[in-house]
Amino acid sequence: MAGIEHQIEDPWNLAGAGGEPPKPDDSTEDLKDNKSENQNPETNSSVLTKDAEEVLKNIDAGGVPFFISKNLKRILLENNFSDEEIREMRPADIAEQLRKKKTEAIQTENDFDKGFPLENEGGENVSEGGGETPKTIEDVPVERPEEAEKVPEEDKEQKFNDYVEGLSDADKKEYDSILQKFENQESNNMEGSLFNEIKETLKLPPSEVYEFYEKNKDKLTKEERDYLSLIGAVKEGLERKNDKTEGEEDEKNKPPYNENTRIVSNDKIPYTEEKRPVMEDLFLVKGFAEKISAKLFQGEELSEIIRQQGQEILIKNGFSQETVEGMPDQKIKEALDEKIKEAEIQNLSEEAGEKYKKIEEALEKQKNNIEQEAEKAGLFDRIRKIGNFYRKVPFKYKLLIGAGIGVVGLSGVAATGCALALLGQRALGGAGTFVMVEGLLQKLTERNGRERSKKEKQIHTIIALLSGVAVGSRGMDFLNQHLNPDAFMEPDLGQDLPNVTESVGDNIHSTSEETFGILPTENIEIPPQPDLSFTVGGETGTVWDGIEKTLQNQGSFEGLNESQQNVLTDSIKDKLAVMSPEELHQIGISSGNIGLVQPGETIDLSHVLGETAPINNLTEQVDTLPLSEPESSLNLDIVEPENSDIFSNGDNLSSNLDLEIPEQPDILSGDNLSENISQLSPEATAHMNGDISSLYGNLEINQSIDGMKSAHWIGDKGLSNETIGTLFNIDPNLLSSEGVGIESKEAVMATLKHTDSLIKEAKISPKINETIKDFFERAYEKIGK
Amino acid sequence: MDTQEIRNQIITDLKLDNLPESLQNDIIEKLGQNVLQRVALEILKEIPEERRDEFDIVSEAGDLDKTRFFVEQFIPNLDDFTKKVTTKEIEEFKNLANLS
Repeated sequence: MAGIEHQIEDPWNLAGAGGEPPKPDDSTEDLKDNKSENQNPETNSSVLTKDAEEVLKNIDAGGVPFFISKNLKRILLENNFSDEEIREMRPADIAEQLRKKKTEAIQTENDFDKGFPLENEGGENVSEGGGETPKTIEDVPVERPEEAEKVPEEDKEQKFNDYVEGLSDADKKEYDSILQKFENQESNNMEGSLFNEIKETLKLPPSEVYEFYEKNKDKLTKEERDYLSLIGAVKEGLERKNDKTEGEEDEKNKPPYNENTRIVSNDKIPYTEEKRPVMEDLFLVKGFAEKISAKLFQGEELSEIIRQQGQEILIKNGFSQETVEGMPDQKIKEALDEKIKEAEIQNLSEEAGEKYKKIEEALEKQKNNIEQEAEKAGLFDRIRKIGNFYRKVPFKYKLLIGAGIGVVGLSGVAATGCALALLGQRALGGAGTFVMVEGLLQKLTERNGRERSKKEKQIHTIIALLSGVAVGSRGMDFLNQHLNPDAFMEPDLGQDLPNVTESVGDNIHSTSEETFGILPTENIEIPPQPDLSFTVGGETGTVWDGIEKTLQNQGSFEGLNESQQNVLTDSIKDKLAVMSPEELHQIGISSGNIGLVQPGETIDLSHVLGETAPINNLTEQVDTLPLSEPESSLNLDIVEPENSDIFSNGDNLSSNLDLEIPEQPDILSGDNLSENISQLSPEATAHMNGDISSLYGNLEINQSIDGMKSAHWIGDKGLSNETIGTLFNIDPNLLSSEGVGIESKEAVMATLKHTDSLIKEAKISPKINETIKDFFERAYEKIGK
Repeated sequence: MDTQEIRNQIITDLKLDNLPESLQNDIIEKLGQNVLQRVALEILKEIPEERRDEFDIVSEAGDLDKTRFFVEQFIPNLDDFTKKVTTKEIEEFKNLANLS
């Protein structure tokens, strides 16, 4: 190598003094001085620096460094390795390179014939006794790694402890965190955990650690992988699967992967053939990249050591020092992923390479199609934002919210939820919420003394992910509304997984039930879903009779008194009444008009009552109703025309009906707000005033204050005159408990909650520009009808 | 079914068995991104342009029920819709990549 040749020409710098080269005449003396200050007296070496000798000793004791750290780099520079040499150097090569350097220096000395003593690594004089002067590295007796493995176990343990003790604060924190996380698994008694086996790896030689990993890698959790990597790196070191020679042979025998498919990093660093990515110890690098990914997702910054290690890997793989310096953490992660991929691609067979190329092209084409369509529709930015967020999500979540939805059959509910949540993201910093919510879910589930099932954990992950996206307190509202994890699952959980290819033909709709809704589980049994359709006329009777019977069959009336049952039935009627003609047609009403139902028509209520319907919300709503007979919960003005017997028990089922279906509220038309607000009826006024008195009165320290007169409701900061848009855009967590009205955390939260319940109860949408008071009035008026 | 099983199922279905793990993961990630973006796009396309600002307000509040309620005005069978879109996207991918 060029660098070494240079050093042979200038051997005086080998001691790393960095000063003026000594004159040949007094070189021995100078080196002696240097030796006394800088060389390890045990090794009695006069060639390498003391630090370098120490590195060599550590490596021989099994401590192969994982990365070339700054400190190690300094040592190598001190021993006159060039930047270029160091960049190309693999950690496992360091010992060899140091020995080589030493031998070359010895040879040089010999050539100069300065009477310089030749020593081996143990400091023995190898030129004495009339023996042949060594000319090459092979001639110099070298302690081989096999011998190093004979180092007593206690020494290794001590070295490991010393290593840990010597870590910087940041590294030690990192180490402790991983260790703690891993150790905690013991008490969690995780099913299928390899904890005990992994613990045993502490006693294994490096080769067996790697063997263990290879054998069990599919079963290892992230923590286990982290731990194994750490132990393998700092204590035992990992042997490469094949030695360098074998690796080179393999490389020669493999057909090169088509260059056109090579992924070029975003930094556009060109590779020469000689600078192709070197990703030995690939699994460690993968584990490292995964660790970075998890940290970034949780909103954490990388510690200096992690960042530095990432940068050093990139430098080794073709990035320039200048490029990686100052590179953002996310960029480091993405670049590492690209490097891992490149290394894998290079190892593909021709056939696999072709396949991968086609797949990449297909994915790229799909992506382009989506982007082009999004651009045409003026939605490009929103769609791109979703992609940006998705890329930051750790892989296991991607399985759940991406392809897993389509291929494995996680329910459409989850898919929809993911898409909606991502569309609704205000910021990309919800990862902290994710962690918090997942922890909360775990506590909520386990507070009853039971462990979460695997399925629950999985579902909670989805929920937490979504909540994390839905930054702020509303994420928690969402969470509270979805504590029943089964809501995310399809009904037929016990079936075998289908093959999408087989089950999806031209008519996707007809096969969707076979294709999706399948998430086999050993724990949850879902009863068969009742038939949610009925035929108008005959035994069923009227439409409403049919609804009642369907609800009865579905078990929705269980535990409800008669009044509550009526309210529930009415809620379904409401739902039908606001459906569009297309929707009505879809459920079996051929006319598209709820008032024009023909006898003999079969009405399918599955989308009103089925898994996609907010039936739980309806039931919750009913649960809060007073037990007295409600006046009416119908929010439709039903005008029964002549012969409207379909609503009665009469026989004239062929008659047409007309229902006055209220127009869809136009939320944006704030100009017409006044027209939408009717005069409050006395009943509605009393209802509203009573609720407000209680709502804001309860927030007053002085409980005798009427909420209607509370500063939370009226006055400059009172919520009554704030708009719905303002309310929805406040994050209460950012407010103080000391504030008043719009500045009070408690008042805003209470108002949000109350608004939420009014939306559900009155079945109307608030308008962005209307005041909270106006919306309340509209809602109470609707409820009062 | 844990995430590993989900992953294995995807690998089998997409016939990715003969590729190394990291490339399998890469494909799953990209396909997932496409699927999710496609679902979001198709949902948004169903919402009339003049109502999209309104959708932003509702969805950005972070309450998924309200967002759902809003979207269901335009896509009554929302989950079935999502399923169809998802399935179609994956089938298209298989066809393009000759994996069918």
